Amino acid sequence: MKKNNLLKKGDIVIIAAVLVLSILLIIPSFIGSDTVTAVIYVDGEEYERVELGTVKERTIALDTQLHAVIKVKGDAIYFESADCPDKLCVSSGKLTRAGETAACLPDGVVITLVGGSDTPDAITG
Amino acid sequence: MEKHKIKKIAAVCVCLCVAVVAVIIAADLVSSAREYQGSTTLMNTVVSFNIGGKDAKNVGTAVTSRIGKLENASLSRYSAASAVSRVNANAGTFCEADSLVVSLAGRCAELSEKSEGAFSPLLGGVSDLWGFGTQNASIPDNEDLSIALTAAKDGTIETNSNSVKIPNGTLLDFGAVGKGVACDEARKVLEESDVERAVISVGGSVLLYGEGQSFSVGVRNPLGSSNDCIGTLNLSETCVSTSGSYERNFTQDGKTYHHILDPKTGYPVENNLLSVTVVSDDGFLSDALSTACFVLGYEKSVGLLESYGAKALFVFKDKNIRITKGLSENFELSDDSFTILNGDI
Repeated sequence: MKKNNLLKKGDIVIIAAVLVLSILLIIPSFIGSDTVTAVIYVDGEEYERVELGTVKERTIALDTQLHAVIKVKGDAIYFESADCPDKLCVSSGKLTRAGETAACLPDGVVITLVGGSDTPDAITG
Repeated sequence: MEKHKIKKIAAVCVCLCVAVVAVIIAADLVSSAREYQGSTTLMNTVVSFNIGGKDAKNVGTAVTSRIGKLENASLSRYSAASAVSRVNANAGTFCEADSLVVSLAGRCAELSEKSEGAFSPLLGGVSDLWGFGTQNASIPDNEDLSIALTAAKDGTIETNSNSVKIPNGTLLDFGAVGKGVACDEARKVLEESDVERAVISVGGSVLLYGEGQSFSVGVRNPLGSSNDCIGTLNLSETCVSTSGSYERNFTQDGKTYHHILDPKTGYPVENNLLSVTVVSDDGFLSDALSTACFVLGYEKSVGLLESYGAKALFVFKDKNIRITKGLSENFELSDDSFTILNGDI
């Protein structure tokens, strides 16, 4: 049998690699991600983004006036403590779903969860 | 087929793949630059924005700056430099104020009259006695309450072209309209920009901006946590505000007292409602009417809402829901423990 010399082995490898890479890069553009990311804002500035579910346990102690402490535990993020008078931030409890928000108003800290699917544009209440 | 021809086709395929990927990545980068999300704390609440369109980040910054200015220069009772603080310090006389505050004072006075006193912007003194949202929240002394309430009940706001006069012994308080007004101010900034779509949330008041756009707004479960919703309102460009008894309350001697005061008694409103959500193209109206309707109750609210062309969703303590004409088709209930009664009025 005559050997096929039309495409060399290297050509095929390059074509296959480019195709696979293309598909891998394009897929996320078409499929909405279900990953939920917590965005922490301090005084209106983005402080940090934490992808939930990727960290077993982590404590984020903010260098703010009222020393808010945020805890990331598995799929949840929450205010663990703060030196604010009402502790409304702590009583907000655990945030796990996209669209959820908790804040320590006196300390200027907001945690908001983004990503996921089927999330309303806003919540009134 | 000739060898070089096949190689050419393969090369073209590779180039095409690379080009498609490059275009998609570039489009993704451009789209992220045209999207801007953020949250901050202003007006003693969380202000969140999600803006899509040209220069989204700068527009977001301009929106927060405008709301900050609105709070500090005009509406806040706790900013000594604000127009409201000056009006309050000069109760009993005409006091110069910016055009927005003069206009708001007039609109509040009109709503107070149309709602037969269910809405009052003069309860600042009464509200201070209760101390909602502070460490000192408690039932006020009856005599103090009576003095502050009588002054608010008996007097009216007067305005002229550039001044506002409030009765002696009262304090002008835009707390029941401020978040809605912030939505209106945010809209002015957006209208001066090339932004195509924006959602600005100021506490419980939400501005939905963008011609031909569709939006979904979750309605908070009054019996659940702040992120728990009973359903979703599917809306086009408009404003949505909610007043509920679950916000800023305290418990004393086993009884819970919430912050929505009845202007006739000076005490928190006691009726069968848990929350009222109002939809209106005007942010001021959506916010003010949500408070007025909570005080008035469902039956008396219907005419008032109609007179302003607004729609509303009432959530009752028995977990029933009533929705005014033209809004029921926009609401999708997701919490089966609540029941929608008879749809439209």
